[in-house]
Amino acid sequence: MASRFPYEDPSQAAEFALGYFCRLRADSDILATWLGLRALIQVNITRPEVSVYVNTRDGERMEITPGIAPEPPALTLTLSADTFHCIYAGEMNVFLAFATRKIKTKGNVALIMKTTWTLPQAIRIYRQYGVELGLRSFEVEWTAKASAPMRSGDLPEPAAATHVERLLGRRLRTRPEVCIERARYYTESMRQSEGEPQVIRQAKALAHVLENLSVHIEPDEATGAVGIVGAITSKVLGAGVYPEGIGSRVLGELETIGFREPNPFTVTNEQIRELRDEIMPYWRGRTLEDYARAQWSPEVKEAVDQVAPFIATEIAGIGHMLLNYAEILGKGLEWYVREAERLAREVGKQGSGKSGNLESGVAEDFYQAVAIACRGVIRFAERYAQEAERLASLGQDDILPHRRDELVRIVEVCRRVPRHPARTFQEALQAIQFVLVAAQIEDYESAFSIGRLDQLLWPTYQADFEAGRLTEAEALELLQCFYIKISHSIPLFDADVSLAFAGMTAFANAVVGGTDADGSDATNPVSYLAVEAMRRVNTQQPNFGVRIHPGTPPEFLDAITRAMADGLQNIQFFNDEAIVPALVNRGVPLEEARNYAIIGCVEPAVPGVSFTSSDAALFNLGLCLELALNNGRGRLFTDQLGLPTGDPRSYTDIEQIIDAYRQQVAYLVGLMVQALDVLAEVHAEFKPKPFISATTGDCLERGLDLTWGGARYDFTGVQGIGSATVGDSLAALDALVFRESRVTMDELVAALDADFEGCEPLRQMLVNRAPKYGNDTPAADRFTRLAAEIYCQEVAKHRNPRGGRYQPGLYSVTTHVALGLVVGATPDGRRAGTPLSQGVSPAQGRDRQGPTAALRSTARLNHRLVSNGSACNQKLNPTFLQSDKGPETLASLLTGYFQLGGMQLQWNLVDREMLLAAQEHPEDHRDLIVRVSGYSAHFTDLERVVQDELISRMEHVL
Amino acid sequence: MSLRGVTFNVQRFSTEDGPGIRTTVFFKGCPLRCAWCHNPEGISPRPELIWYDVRCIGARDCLRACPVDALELTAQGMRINRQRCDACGACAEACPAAALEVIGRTWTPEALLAEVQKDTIFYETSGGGVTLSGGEPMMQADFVLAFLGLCREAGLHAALDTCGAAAWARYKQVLPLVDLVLYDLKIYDANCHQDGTGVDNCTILDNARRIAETGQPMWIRTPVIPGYTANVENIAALAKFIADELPTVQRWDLLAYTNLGQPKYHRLDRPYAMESVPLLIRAEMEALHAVAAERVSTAVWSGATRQEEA
Repeated sequence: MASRFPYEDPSQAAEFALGYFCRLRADSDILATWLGLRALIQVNITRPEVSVYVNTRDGERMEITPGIAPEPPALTLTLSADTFHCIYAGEMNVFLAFATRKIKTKGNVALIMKTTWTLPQAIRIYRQYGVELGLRSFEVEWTAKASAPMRSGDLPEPAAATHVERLLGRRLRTRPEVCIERARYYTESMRQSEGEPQVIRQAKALAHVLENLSVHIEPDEATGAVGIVGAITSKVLGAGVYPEGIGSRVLGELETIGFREPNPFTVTNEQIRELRDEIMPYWRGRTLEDYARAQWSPEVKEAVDQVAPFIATEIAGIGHMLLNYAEILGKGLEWYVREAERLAREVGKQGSGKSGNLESGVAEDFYQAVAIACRGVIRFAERYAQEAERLASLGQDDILPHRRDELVRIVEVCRRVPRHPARTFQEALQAIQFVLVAAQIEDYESAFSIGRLDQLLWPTYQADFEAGRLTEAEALELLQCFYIKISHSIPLFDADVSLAFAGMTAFANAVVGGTDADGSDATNPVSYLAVEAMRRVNTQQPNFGVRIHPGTPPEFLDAITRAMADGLQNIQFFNDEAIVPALVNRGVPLEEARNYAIIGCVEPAVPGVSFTSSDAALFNLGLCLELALNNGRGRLFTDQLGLPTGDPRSYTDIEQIIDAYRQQVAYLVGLMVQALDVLAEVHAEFKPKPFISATTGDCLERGLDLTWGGARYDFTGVQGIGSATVGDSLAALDALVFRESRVTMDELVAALDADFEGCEPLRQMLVNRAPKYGNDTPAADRFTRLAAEIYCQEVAKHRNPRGGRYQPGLYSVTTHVALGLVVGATPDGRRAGTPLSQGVSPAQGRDRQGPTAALRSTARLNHRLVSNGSACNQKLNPTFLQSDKGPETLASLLTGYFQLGGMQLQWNLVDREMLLAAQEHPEDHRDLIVRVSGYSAHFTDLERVVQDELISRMEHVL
Repeated sequence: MSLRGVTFNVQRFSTEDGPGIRTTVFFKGCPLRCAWCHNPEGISPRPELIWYDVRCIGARDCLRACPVDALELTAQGMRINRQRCDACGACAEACPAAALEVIGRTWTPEALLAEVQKDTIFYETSGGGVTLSGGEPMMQADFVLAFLGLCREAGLHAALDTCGAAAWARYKQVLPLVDLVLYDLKIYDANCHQDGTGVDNCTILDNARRIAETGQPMWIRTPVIPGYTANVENIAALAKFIADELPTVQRWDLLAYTNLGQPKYHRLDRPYAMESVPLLIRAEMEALHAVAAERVSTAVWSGATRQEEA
């Protein structure tokens, strides 16, 4: 239960709120931030009603006055007292509060966005304030919350649970904790290595962390037949701190991270103290963000701070790698050590090493660094072997005989891999786990992907099977253990990143199926086992996908859709016929393109030889349209964000608007590229990644770290968000303004300015009387295609500092919510601040003709340009899936979509929450079709009682 | 003048009206008056105006647009004077919120073919096609004949969903162009049939026999309706009829009564005979299915049943 505002009486409430604002003013950081706004801001609290206005217009004083401002304020915020309390108590994500309209705004939203970075201080002050006023609940509640278990924490462990079930149960029941060991040892090493070449410092820092990070083997990892070990932190379920990157942003929030919603973490006062007093001081002025800020131009800095035109993610770290696991399993890390040493001697003899393209890296240093880093990873595995040995040597009373056998086996496996080639299935999985952990510790925990799991594991599976060493059941169990193990990598994000990338997953992708280099089907028995293992555990990790091509065995697809009917939820589909041509279009040779795997969410890349920097930024297409329709100014962010493309009221046909949109896209893509180029250079200079580079072709051959341009295929991937919002807006303008003359540009612009207040009939007309993308209407679909195409073309014009190309993606994770916050009303009838359309899916609730029509529309996009991947979500009713025909029909739907040229597809099961949301916001859910034995109806057209019954029924289905 | 057909819905991704993924064309007009009809907008052959309470924003553009003054917005909702209203659609066109809709769209056979061909690729991947349903498609037999001819030329699998109450001569014309007949059998007893549907079942049973005689594959569909068809005697009698006289039946669907059609009655200003009738309970459906399956092994049941206390 969220806690409540402490007063019900309006006068007491007003006194409390005013007192709090005065406290805030007393904090020098907060005062400086507010004075910088130079604005009049009205805050209206409801239930009980309190009005306060804050005036900093002269830039010198911050006046706090009760009541309604005598002059029109630059911004008005309206929120309930409980919302106010939850935000300042650190229980509610402020961005989420904006997104869900718990805070209503009128005026320049940019003003309040600029103050959110002081929120951690404000929260601390609120807490002290409450305690000082003697509000007992403040102290009691926080103490209780910080130590409370997670939602599922109270579940008893089932008595007859199998070894896998116990592992999975522990993962789900355990409350995540912050682990500061990585930060501590990384910083320790960096302090000691000042003055040495950066690439060597990074290698030493990695090796130092791996030498000191606490190793631990969980009980059940060794009580069954098999076990995979190797944890990324010292905790059972922990997140590391990366002080050089995202860690600097998290620091300010540590005190409230224990009870924030969503995604709370346990953190102790001692950890906070060590981070704040011992670790972070070293990083002042030395974080990736600090280095980048020093180089960004004022325009770029402004754009980054607004978080409106784009979200630049690589301030936090890069991640999104697909290491050469096939080669690691085949050769072992010791081979890399020897090779690096040999190459170091070779270039050393030549007198001077080859220099990197950014002139910061020297080949000899790089090779030395590779050897240090790889030895560090080998050492990490050895420490696990020693820990297993220690456990195995415990007395008879402490350990069961079969557990001892298993520990002995773990000792052998950890001594073998990743140092030497993997000979068995267990060794292969164990090697991948160690390498995955090491790579994440080196860079940060985001989207280190596995690649083609079935292809990687097939040689050892076959060898084991033929030698009679492994049964199918044992392989299945090992795979489940592996999935659970990698699900223990969870990233520690700050509040606004948590909103943009919701769900606490590290996005480690794995795919099965697809073709070999010749185009022949590559499905093998491990492909089936990998699907079945996922059905059984349904872990968030790996982010699991299947490659589909015309030669995919029907029985494989059948097995997958049946598994879906039987509970498999974590699954998405990729179309080889769309992805391979998109990669070839970017210059990847056909044979290598056919070997693609997926990074992170949906980003295709050739495994082992690519550095695609695939989630470098998320770009706001909705804002570009807004700027085109407002002469370069934002409607919520009233600053001049874009180019002055002219008074929108002067437009007389749709081509002029499209042209203005194109100019805004080109301009802001240019700014984004500047921001990212600097970040790429910062990474190359300050954060080379020798271990990741060693295991990414062709870095060793070239003597270049991958941040210096060592990878064979080099890209920077940036995603366009809101294609359908833009497309539907253009379609509405075209139909209603220019063709049918049902509304004038003047009226439309005035309505957008007013966020449709007082213009509901016009808004309804925009929603209902103009064609919409997603209904198989070419006249509407062409605009969404165009909106995306313009973005893709602009992006592909640019090259990154490593010489690689920028390439576009069309997927949003949950950033369509965050980026929607800053976009005012749009001509598709969307209200200000609400989410943009998601990925390449139709805008929320706008597709009314069922799944085949929506897929035909999506297939009309120019997927060949979208070489960084696209995401299409479709809702699926679980009852349909469970019907006799469900699995087969789903397979047909998928196959048909892919024959039409679709790129990616995943289904979201309709659940009770979705139906409840549809009752509350019917307009956003008009696509929702309920089917009862062939009889189907749009949910939002049903009467309340029938809806209620369907909702209660849903409780039983799921 | 070329042929015109009137439909009340063309529903894509239909998965229960025959094999595979299908587009079901619902023709307007029906000779039966089943008390439980869940598509009451399919009964009248003429276009009809309906009003969606949940969508109306009270903009009143419709009132100004109506040329015959047939609309009145009252505190109880929109009153449509159905004597005056000729479903011209001017109000629906004027409404910004799409709260008014004329049910009944007119097609040429060619236009309807183009519409159903949109999903050809999904018919191919799933073994699906087009299903003609209603209402009763045989009420527009000339149009249906022309449309089916086009479907055959286009290579589409075509199913005819019929209540059986049409002249045999008509079926004889249409059947050669049909790949599968979905045949509704509701009540075996003639009197009860008359009571429940307003029509005698003599022709219906007779046509069923004759269709089977031609060797045409059939799926039988029986709505299981409390108080009408949902009793053991009826299901047993139908089972006997199917087992003894319809050798080409490949499947028999028992479809549990659904209340999802209820809002449509209100929108058409028609009384709903099943207003307070709850859904069947699961055990009832299972028992009736057992009776059916005793003689007809291909009998299956589907649909929602009443929520029961756990």
